[in-house]
Amino acid sequence: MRKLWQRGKFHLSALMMLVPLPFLPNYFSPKPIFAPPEIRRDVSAGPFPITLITHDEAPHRGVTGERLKEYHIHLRPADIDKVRGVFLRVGKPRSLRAAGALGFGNPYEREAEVTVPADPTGTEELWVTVEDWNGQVHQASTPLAGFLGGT
Amino acid sequence: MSAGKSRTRLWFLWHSWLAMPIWAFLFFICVTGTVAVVSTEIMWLVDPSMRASGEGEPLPPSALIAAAEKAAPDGRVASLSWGGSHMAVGARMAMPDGTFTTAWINPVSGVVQGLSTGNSFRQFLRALHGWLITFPVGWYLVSAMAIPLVGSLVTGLVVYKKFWKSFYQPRIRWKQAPRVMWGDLHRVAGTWSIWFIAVIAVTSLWFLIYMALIHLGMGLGGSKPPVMLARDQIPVAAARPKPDADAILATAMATLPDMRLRFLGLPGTAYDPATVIGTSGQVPLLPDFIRINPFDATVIVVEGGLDGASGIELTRTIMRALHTGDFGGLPIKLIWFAFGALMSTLILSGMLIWMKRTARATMEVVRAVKTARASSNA
Amino acid sequence: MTARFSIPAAAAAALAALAALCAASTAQAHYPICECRMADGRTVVCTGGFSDGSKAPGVVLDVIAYDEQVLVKGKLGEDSTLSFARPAQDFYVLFDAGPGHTVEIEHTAIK
Repeated sequence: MRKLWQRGKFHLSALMMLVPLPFLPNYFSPKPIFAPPEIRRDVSAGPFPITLITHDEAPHRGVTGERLKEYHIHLRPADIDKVRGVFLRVGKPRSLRAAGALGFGNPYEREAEVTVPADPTGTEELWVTVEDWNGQVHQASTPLAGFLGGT
Repeated sequence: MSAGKSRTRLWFLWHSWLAMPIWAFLFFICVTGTVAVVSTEIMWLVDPSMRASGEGEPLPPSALIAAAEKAAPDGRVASLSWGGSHMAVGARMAMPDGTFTTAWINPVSGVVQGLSTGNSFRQFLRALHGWLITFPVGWYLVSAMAIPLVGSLVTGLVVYKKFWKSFYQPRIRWKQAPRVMWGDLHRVAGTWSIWFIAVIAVTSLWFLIYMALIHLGMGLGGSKPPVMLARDQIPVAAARPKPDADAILATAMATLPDMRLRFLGLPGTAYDPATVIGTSGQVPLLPDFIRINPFDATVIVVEGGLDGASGIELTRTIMRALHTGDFGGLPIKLIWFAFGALMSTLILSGMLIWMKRTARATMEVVRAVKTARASSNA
Repeated sequence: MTARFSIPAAAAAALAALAALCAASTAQAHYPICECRMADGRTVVCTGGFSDGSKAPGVVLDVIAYDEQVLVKGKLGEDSTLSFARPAQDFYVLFDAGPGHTVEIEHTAIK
């Protein structure tokens, strides 16, 4: 035993190669395997039915300490080219300029990082603002309670 | 033993002990890094769908986009990447299930030669080499290796004072005992890769500092805000106007005619510009970014090159290019690959020498110090 | 890197920097940040930037009353800051780097 240790101790750093192993299956899967469960909400902004999805995990901290929560936005495929942008904001937007975080990425499944309150009162609403290519604006909201995850 | 000699011996012990306890990890990083340098070329060799003959008139981007979207129903091309005349063009497509797929298209015939999903071999090697697929812990573990690397280089040069001899009188006694042979190899390989080890060590140290600064919340971004289109620049229409990729590319090439085209990114959202990335001859390490209004194909701004880049951006780009050897095409990559292999040999031979000699040398020094202490106490 | 992972902003920034050629597709991962404070009893100083550490010279920053009347129509200077006299009425600061890239700061949060 002692001899094995004497001979093998300088090769122990080879164990570092084991570090990536548990992450490999997830890495090669196009979708995360061990993702937390999803929370879904259906809303309708004017003519556009939308499904919002978020992971059931607590909001994360941004660089200046603010809380951010990622939401995925599913439009009907037929609506994708009618919609210019989808914005998410906690609280009713004051104006189109301040409509909140813009959904980006895959047009079939846009994602938006929304600033959320650190201490929610439980009465907040998540507002969805859809701007279509005609320049028209449609809004809808859903309670934030139960849609923040991680509780 | 003279004072000078025993000092050299101490340096030698430092040299050995810096690398020995971590040699296997260092070796692993070195080998994966070496392979990562030519990962694109390996993919090209292994996967016929990534090849192109390089002859003939290349098709315009619109034709490539049409071909890709035909091959993957409901897929939407987000960007095109050109890897050179011998490489198929990669079209990154957003798929209805929320994932992305890459179509490999022959740039001349427009034939879609293959589809690949998820992370490529190249990305995998980069992730394995750079952060052990474990972010950010792996990043720190890997880049912290820059410190023993610098130490090994410095102490190695102190120990092997006449290293310059290996430049004009390289001597490897292949037929001698393995210890002698490995020792010769270690010295010659080490001497010839001084510049390379220095480059890798310094750039790795930068990656360590870079990540630490990000985590400490220090500003590391560029001096310029991201480019976006204002709402009043966006046309009103019944449905999304399809961006004219050919007009976008034509504008970019007219702006920088000598540019070697590498990337065309269509707008990610309605408020984003299209982006064309390429390298123009003048500053080979620094790519040019041309942001273009997708609706009228006019240039919004040209970024990159030497103009207007902040010090941190320049450092970031140059450090990365130097680390990966990806700045002068295949010849530079092959040089990086060869020296990467040499560096891996260096680590392996160092370990073999250690196993055969340093353990004993350490015992001797420890004994000598004890004896000296004992005699001075007496 | 799968799109569905909520990677921390720092990681996103670092990965974006590494994948220099893919930078265009991950540019969206940078979100705007803005902080405002009282420089003295009367002057508010706002500093804008982006989560990847980018500066924000020339980016729009408006001071708007609660009745949506624009009190100060400003742009950040070369040092990414803007100073203005604190309005007497209720207001909010709108740091506007483009559609969907805004930060709002209420007057009550400026101390």
